[in-house]
Amino acid sequence: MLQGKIIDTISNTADAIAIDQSRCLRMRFNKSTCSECIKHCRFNAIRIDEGVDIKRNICSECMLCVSVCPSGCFDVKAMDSYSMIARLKRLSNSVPVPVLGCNARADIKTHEKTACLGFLSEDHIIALSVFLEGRLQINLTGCADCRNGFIVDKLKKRMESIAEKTSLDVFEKINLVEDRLELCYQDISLDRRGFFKAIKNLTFLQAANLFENITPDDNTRSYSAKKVTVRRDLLNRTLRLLPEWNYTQVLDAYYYNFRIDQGCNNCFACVGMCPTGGLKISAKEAGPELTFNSSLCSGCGLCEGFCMNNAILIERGFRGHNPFEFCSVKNRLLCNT
Amino acid sequence: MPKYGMVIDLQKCVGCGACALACKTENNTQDRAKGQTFNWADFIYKAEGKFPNMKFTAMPVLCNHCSDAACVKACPVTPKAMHKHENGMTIHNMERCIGCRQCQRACPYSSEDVDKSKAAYSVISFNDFSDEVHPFYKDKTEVVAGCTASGAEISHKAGDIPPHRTMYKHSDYASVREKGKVEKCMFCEHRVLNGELPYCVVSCPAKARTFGDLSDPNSEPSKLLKKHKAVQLKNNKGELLKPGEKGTRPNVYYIRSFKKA
Repeated sequence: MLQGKIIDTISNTADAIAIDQSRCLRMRFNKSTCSECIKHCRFNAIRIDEGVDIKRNICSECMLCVSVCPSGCFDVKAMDSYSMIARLKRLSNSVPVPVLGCNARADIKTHEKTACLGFLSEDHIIALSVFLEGRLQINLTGCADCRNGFIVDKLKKRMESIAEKTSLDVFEKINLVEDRLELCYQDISLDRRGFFKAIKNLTFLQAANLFENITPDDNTRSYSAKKVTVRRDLLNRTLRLLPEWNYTQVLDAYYYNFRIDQGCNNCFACVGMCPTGGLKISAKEAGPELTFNSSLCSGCGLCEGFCMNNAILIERGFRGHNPFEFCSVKNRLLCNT
Repeated sequence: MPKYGMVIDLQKCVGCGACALACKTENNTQDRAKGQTFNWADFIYKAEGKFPNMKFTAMPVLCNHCSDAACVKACPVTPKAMHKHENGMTIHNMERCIGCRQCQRACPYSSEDVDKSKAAYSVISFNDFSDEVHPFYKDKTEVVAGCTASGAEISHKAGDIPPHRTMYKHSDYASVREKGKVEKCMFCEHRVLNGELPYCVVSCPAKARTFGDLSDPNSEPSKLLKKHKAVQLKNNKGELLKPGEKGTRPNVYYIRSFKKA
């Protein structure tokens, strides 16, 4: 059985996006009108009705859906953003400028190969620019004649948006390289020991990727299992490293504030609706109380749409003390009183 | 496909509570707490009049497995966590439930907080987000430090199930539910699929409960419904056991009330 699965996995390379239906806002709440992924999909490959489905024969795997879904319904299979950043960080010791690129073509020179770079959200780009001390080049030289070439504009827009909202030096840290001449790719020089070590690592990596791919096709978790999105988690980790002025800028631009008005009757239905676990009931002396953690909120607004009393308002820009803490909504973030 | 339903004979029922106890044992339901009853099989007790001219009525209540279930319509999740099976049962899928309690609000036979709303019963109950369900099934701390073990620990060491726990498997629900989710009577589908009757039916010493296929004219409940005039629990005005039902088409019928309908 395992053998069959391995063969299936190797032959079926088109299956690059994992879907967790339980995260989809429209699966969680039938009145939700979220259509971010459908709007961004150039090939109309995504269907949402009785379930979330990507038509694999149409999908170009540009990974834009992965980067735009507010609740992390999609994920790039066999790729881990955390270890990708860690490997790039380690690379900066051995080469002057690490190069990140996609695995669409073999002749694209990169140190780290990933799926199509459309998955790089603003949060990813901020994380890359902060975690890597030096410069990073993103190799887009092959994009001109790729059907996913439109992601170059998307990445540029995302970089501009970051520069607009914050004073982070993303353009200095990260170069989008479209011209081969600008590329500063340098092979990693290896001694004999290093060479064999690299081969060993490569084999392990391939094996790991292979086995990661064998995980069951149905990625749907329990609807009540809360999990913060990878993007939000990356930004949370980045946030702690930022100097004070950037910290407030990022909090203003990327984090959310949760407010309720007098209409709230403490029914706590929003707690169950939230896909990421940003809302929690905390036992206080005066009884149970709604608390909010901004670092666990991806701003999908599902609670806002779901609240039967229309008492919830989600707004951009965190206003509390500590975004990593569950704060009482009544005391710190309440509006209209 | 059968369409399961239940007929309760009110002249046979003496209100002894054996069905409720049986249900608690079979389905490991919790004790009443935090405005939730957790009684999948419950009662409405009514005392009317003044001594010595008194009337006491005990009416067993349970999920009515309505044909037009309001709880199913209200469930916001896709595919619905609260859904109808082809056999007519209203079944709750635990994996997909997010604990928003919309079903509880929509159900004419349920109440969000029985203490606050002074409701006698609620067929749908909600497990709080903060408390573990049946902690003593898992709690392995010593009861007396250095001396006595807990029931869970002894049963774990002995390779047995914890005391007062019934284990069963079903595709949609578990024998013990999770926190932050609702629960209700499932007509013991795990038993019915194996050709057994719901445990409350088996346990009734007066045989007041009859369970079976309502679409089959020769089944026990169908025969009873033909023979007696049946009413459902509530009518349009919310009155108990009067004709003119609420519009959800419940599949639990009451026959032979002592009071004339």
